Amino acid sequence: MKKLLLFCVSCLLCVTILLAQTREIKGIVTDSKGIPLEGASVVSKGTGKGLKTNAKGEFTIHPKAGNEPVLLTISYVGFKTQLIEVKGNELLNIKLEIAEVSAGDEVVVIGYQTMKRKDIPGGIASIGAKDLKDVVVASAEEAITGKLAGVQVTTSEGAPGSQVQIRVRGGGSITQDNSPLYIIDGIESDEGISLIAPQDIESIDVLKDASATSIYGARAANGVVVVTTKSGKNSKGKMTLSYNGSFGLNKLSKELPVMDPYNFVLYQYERSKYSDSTSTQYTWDSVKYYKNNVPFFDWQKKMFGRNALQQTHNVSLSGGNAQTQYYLSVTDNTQDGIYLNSEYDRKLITFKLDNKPNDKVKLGFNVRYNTTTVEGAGTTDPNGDQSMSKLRGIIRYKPFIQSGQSADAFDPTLEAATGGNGLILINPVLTANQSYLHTVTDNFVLSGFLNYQLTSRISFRTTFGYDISDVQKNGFNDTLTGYAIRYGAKMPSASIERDKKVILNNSNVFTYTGKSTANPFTILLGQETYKNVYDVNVNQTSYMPIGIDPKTALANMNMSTPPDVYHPGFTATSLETPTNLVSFFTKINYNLNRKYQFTASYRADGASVFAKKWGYFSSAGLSWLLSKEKFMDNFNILSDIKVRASIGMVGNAKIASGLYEVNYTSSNPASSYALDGVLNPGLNSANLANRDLQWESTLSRNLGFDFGIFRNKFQVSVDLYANTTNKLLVNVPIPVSSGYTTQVQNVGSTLNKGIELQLAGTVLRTRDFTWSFTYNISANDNTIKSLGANQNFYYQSSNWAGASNLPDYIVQVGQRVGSMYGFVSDGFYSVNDFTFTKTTGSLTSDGKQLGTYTLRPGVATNTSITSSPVQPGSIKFKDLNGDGVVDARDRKILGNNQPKAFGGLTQTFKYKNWDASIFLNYRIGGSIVNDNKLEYASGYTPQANMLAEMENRWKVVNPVNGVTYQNYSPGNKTIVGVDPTTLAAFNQGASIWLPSIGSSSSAFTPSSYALEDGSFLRVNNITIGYALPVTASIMRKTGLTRFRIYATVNNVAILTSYSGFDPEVNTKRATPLTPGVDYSAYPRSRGYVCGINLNF
Amino acid sequence: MNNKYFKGLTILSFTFIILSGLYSCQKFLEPETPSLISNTTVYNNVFTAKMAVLGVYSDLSGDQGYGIRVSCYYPYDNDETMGPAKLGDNDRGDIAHYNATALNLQLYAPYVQMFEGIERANLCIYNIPKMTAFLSGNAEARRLYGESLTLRAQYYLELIRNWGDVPAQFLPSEVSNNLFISATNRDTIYNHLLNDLAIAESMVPWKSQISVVTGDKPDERITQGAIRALRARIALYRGGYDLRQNGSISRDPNYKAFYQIAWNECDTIIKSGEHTLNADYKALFKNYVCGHTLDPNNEIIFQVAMGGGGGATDSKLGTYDGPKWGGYLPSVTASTTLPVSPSYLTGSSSLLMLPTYFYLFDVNDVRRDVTIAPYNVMADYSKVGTKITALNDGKFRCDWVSNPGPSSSLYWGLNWPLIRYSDVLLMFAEADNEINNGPSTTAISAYEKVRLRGFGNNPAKMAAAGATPTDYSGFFQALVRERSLEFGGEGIRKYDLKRWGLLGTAIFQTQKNIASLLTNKYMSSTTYMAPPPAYTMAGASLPTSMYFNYPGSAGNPANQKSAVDDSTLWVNSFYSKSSSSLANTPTIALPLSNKSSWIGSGLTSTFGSYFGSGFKPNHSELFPIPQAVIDASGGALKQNNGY
Repeated sequence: MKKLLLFCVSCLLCVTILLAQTREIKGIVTDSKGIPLEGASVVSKGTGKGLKTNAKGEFTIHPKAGNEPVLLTISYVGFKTQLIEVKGNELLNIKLEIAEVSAGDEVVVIGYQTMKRKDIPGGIASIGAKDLKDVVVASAEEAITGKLAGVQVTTSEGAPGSQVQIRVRGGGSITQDNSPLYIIDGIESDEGISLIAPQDIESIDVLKDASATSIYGARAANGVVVVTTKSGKNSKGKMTLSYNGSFGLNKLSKELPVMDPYNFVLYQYERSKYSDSTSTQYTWDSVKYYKNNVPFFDWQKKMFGRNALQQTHNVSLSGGNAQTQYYLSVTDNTQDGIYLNSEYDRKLITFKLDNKPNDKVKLGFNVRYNTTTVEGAGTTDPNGDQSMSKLRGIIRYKPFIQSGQSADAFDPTLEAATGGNGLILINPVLTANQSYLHTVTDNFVLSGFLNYQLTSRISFRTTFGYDISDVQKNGFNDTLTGYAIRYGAKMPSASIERDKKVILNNSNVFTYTGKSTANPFTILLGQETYKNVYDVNVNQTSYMPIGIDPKTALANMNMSTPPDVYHPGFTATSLETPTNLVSFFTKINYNLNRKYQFTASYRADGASVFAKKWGYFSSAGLSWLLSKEKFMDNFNILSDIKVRASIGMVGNAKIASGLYEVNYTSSNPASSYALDGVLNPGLNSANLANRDLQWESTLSRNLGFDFGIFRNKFQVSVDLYANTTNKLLVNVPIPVSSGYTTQVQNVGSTLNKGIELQLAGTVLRTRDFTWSFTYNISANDNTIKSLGANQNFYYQSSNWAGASNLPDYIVQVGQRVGSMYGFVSDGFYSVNDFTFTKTTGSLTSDGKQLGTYTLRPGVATNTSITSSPVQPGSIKFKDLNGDGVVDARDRKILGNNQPKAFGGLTQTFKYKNWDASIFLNYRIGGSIVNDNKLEYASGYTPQANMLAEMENRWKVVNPVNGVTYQNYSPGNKTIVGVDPTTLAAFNQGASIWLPSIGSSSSAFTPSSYALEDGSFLRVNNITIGYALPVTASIMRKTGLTRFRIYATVNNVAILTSYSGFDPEVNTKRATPLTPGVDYSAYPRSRGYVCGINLNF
Repeated sequence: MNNKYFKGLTILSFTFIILSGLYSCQKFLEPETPSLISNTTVYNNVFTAKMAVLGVYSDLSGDQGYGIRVSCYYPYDNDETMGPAKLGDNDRGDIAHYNATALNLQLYAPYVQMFEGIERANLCIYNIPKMTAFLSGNAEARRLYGESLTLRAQYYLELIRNWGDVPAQFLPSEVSNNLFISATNRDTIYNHLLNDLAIAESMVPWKSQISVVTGDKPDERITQGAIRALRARIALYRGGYDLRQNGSISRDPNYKAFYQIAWNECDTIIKSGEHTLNADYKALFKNYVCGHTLDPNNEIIFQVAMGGGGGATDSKLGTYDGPKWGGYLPSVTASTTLPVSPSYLTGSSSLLMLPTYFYLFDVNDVRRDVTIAPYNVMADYSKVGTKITALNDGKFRCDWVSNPGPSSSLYWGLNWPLIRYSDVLLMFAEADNEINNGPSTTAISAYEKVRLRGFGNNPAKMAAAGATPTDYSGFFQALVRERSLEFGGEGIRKYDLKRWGLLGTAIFQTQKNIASLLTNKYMSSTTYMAPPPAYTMAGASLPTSMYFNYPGSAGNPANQKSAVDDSTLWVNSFYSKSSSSLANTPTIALPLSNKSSWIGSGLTSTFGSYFGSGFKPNHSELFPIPQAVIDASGGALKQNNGY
């Protein structure tokens, strides 16, 4: 960036200076082999005059007349920069040597001071503006996806602006928030990096181990993400203007195959024959009719099939002089969701001003404003219940439209027929049109710092941050939404929710720098305060007049007409919770002979959320530049060898306020009592106070090796770590007789260990062609070591199907975090599991012998789980304990979401003015619970469509003639069917069971059937760019210094065996204990983008 | 300026800032959290303390309280009513038919909610006596304390009668040393509750002594009458039979002492005159419970207030049970039959009244047509009769719900009566009979007050139904029957039978009797209860079909659109000719669609398959402790017998 800027500035300058020349310096720049280098930068130091070499590597410079020496700086990307002093008018022949750039020379900002990477003993992963420059991404999170070893970035689903989870080394806590701590320009941020435009980022450094993180002590247990945004540079008053724009469209990348009209109707017919208690509207004649005459209507295409447009415009202005530098950037990003009526619109503005009034004082000031508007509720809600899932309404809606009906016609009979088990199918287009959600997030950050050099050795820095985030969600549910039907007497309802968060952050740091330059020494002493006030207000109005439109309703929240006094039209809730932190810290850095680097820190943190408020965290780290040792002089296989070792403690305080003392809340309606039918608010103590609540702490150990191979052509970084988290803040089950079911306690521990490898380098470099890459792979294993004295395990439900469904996760000592739990699917019962008793004289209409089927003794039944009688073709689970009955005791751990390894590979190619990059990311191992499949492959509600997989089910009706071959009569509890030979032959090709028609809770029984391998290799992004050669004349005429156009395809392809939309999914995020649930996720799209980068 | 001086000053001032920061640190780390209200604030005045007590009441209501689980899932099957016709559902069907396992889906949440209520009560009981208002004798503060004690007793009673011994904790968890406690003997808990309630009686005034705060109905908050009635009830449970931890059913040998407590309490209530019988049994449910109004006689001493239209605070009474509702009649012709349970009707109609219970009522007993609703209701309130195997319970019925009327929501705000004055009278009679080994005249009078009201206050009709026995066992058996006739569908019967040690007997004899009735067309007498009317017993020939009036009734224009909710809906008699002026077969020709199958063959299967099918003596009297409760107890809790 610096080079580019210098180049731009020098180009601009030389335009004006070309006019009057008396002196001329000519030269040719080549590589070591004498091949000319085109576009090398030649800057005359002191004057700032500079230009670029032509295609022959030549340049001409016109300094001031006279024999005053001229200092030229010649630089070229990938080569060592040369400084040449020129006295007369010489013809220069400059040979540049290939730079063996060591990543260790880059400067990073960590722990209240700036350091060179090679001086940091800890594990750190970084990404700089260079890596971000040519890649088209919509968000900062996307920019780091797959790029950093040990950092797992999971986009929860495909909706624009959807939540992204960042986990550094797996996250240690098992019930608390495992998000890393975000520090943006020295200020703690709660919103993470999502609110920064990728174009404004200078660098992102992820601190992974304790020696780097412990200086942040409080809440650094899950790693620290340090973001440095771009600042103005000293450009001698010249302003740089740049514009980045892109335009693209997104398309649905995959659909779930569902049954076509004929198969749908055939199943409905069959379903009614299962047992004599269900009825259907389809006769055999209509089944036959549907076979050829009714076209398939693809609801997924209708709902997700549109060309969703996106565009981004970013304009930035920067510049400055020696005293003052500024940077102003405006970004406008709009993106349509592929789902009907969904839209994302973000506007960002950031202004940064740095000033150095004198040698002692340095001031900085930064304002950032961000407003994001999201239209549409998406398809899922991480905390919401299944009944509100929109995806189910799309997949399960009947796959055809009645002739003469429009695509958004309301079908009251279908609504009535599917209401029994709470499914309620309403036309998906109608549902999308009827639910309105308008979310506006405003974020305003004001931050600044003052650096004062007290003496030549002591400096003082104070940093202040003020961060207001305000989220307003305006929701409206019209008469035909699931909400109105279930809870609102089919009348519209509106809600306004406002979440406001105000964060104040201040740190004051003294730094003492030692005299010795040979053995640099710094000591830092500081204090920090943090205050977070979270304020929620929710106003909900039900029973709005029918016919009202969302905007009118939301502007007139008093227009409620409840059916009677017993149904309150309004509810209002409000909540205010502050969290305060105070910290004192010190840190020492000592470097002995530039060979041994030592760091130690100590920090005391006080947090208002704890009873025992203070936590003390210390760390030490050592790094050893092995290559500098004499005995390594003859060892040339590896270069720049560095060994890093560190150990340290960090804390975690991310829990709710007020858990350590008895507190009452008025939780309406949980504590209300309906005196005379009117809800009277009561008070209740919602949590059992824990007087011993204290810091969760993580002991982190790290051993790292950095080295270069092939004379530093490739750089390798290997890290091994083991983190033990103790005094885990766990919401543990406690005896029910206490009146509570859980309490937040400091119990148990987890062990998180892993290995990370990062590899970067240039494979090939010729004059015209460069091919470089970065690759990383990480493996992490997170195991629960203890759950306290009274606990060995407890169940955790992801709650995707409501509270009455059996839990689908288990938290167990000795097992991994996120262990999936349930039954082992064992196909289906075959005719051999039954004895057949012929009913003499009873034949089907096509002449087959009928009889009754009884389960053979010794064959385990599972009726208590499925709530359905066992019959040939019924789903079968393994009787693990062999007691002859399949019940809740026959469950086991089925899998785990933790991948064996994950990482990414970025390859960059440059050929003359062309550039290209391809980015792959991958995950090996790790299961996904495909709960979509569990629901969409069950027949628990009539008139609901199923996945095409179920076409190959065990059939009880002959699809040729419609004759029932098997059914169950609940009255006399018998299974009647045709003889086993016929039945088995008829179902020979069946690959899956008879869909469950039991109650919804039993149809969704967690089993290994839902588990799928989540491994994938994704071609995440391919970009091709072309930088137009900017000739001097163009530059002169337009002021343009850079002009690049590019085309990008995002989410190009994915190689996976996963059957759902996408294996990179996590829809039940309310707790870290239920990772990898795919239920009702918004499908991912493929994006085609083209754009332009301009610099002036 | 002197540079050194300036530096020194700066360092000094920064040090000062940091030090002052340190000083205010502790304060900064204890910020005020306005949404969380401390103990001190809550128990600072009676208004907020009342809110805490309302929080205790709150756990009575809602889906996991008396809104449906505790009132409609748990008290069945018994010799009056059968739960939903489902088995192996791991849900309410299994609970009703004594087939529940520790993993049944509907046991855990109510168990949790009742202990939550106990903890909420414990907090009030611990803190209210420390209030200045309480110490200075403030009547409202004393009342709140008494209410909390009573509510805690109610939660424990409900837990014990369903699960037996449970862990008992009488202090808030926050001040308890150990939360991992094992089950306490139920007698010990009952003794504690009896003492508590004796204190509560002295704290809470009678209904008439309370100046009613707007919005508080005197039957929705606890008054002294409710406390005394509950104390009497607990005393009877304490002195009654129960399945003990050793696997046998027994009672305390000193049981009469507890009957004496019950006698005393009931006697005090009766003498107080605060509560009286409402002359109209039907009005009690139709006008007051279903009509959402206050019973002027205060016969309903305490009922759980329901409302709010949601699962946390309302009830599904009338939608889960009672007649089905809604829809319009299809056009029928003379030769078609109406569907018995048409799909266009809403409501689960999950509780089935037993045909044997129907015929336990005397022909003149007005309570039959209140307790049992043998019909479903159209949107225009016309009635369609049901088969005898689909008799709905009738005390919470859709066509009576008014003020407001029934809605499409599942929650109709119907209260659940916990104790009525007629219960006090019958408990008095029972205690008296037990203590004196035969009823005194006051006991007989109390019994007859209830019975007479059941006969519409017509002494002749009551007399015709038989004289009151005066010997110990005769009177006891009459009480066993009378309590059934009086409290059907009110969730009392199963627990009465349990405390008499008769649950198994009643289930098995009822199973036989249903079969006898449906095949032989007459009832048999049981060994544990006074007999049903003579004209339903051996020799009787009860009707095989019943005809009812409804809009499509051709040839009977007078009865078109029948809005009647009693036996006049029917054209012919439920009994033989000899017992009624109504003919056994209709005098006019009615189409098939007006006919309900009644006593006869082919109707036994539902009851035979489900009713009490999983009942095992010395096991099924108690529910299994939910597995999650045992898992969370850290080994302190053991499962109940045989689960």
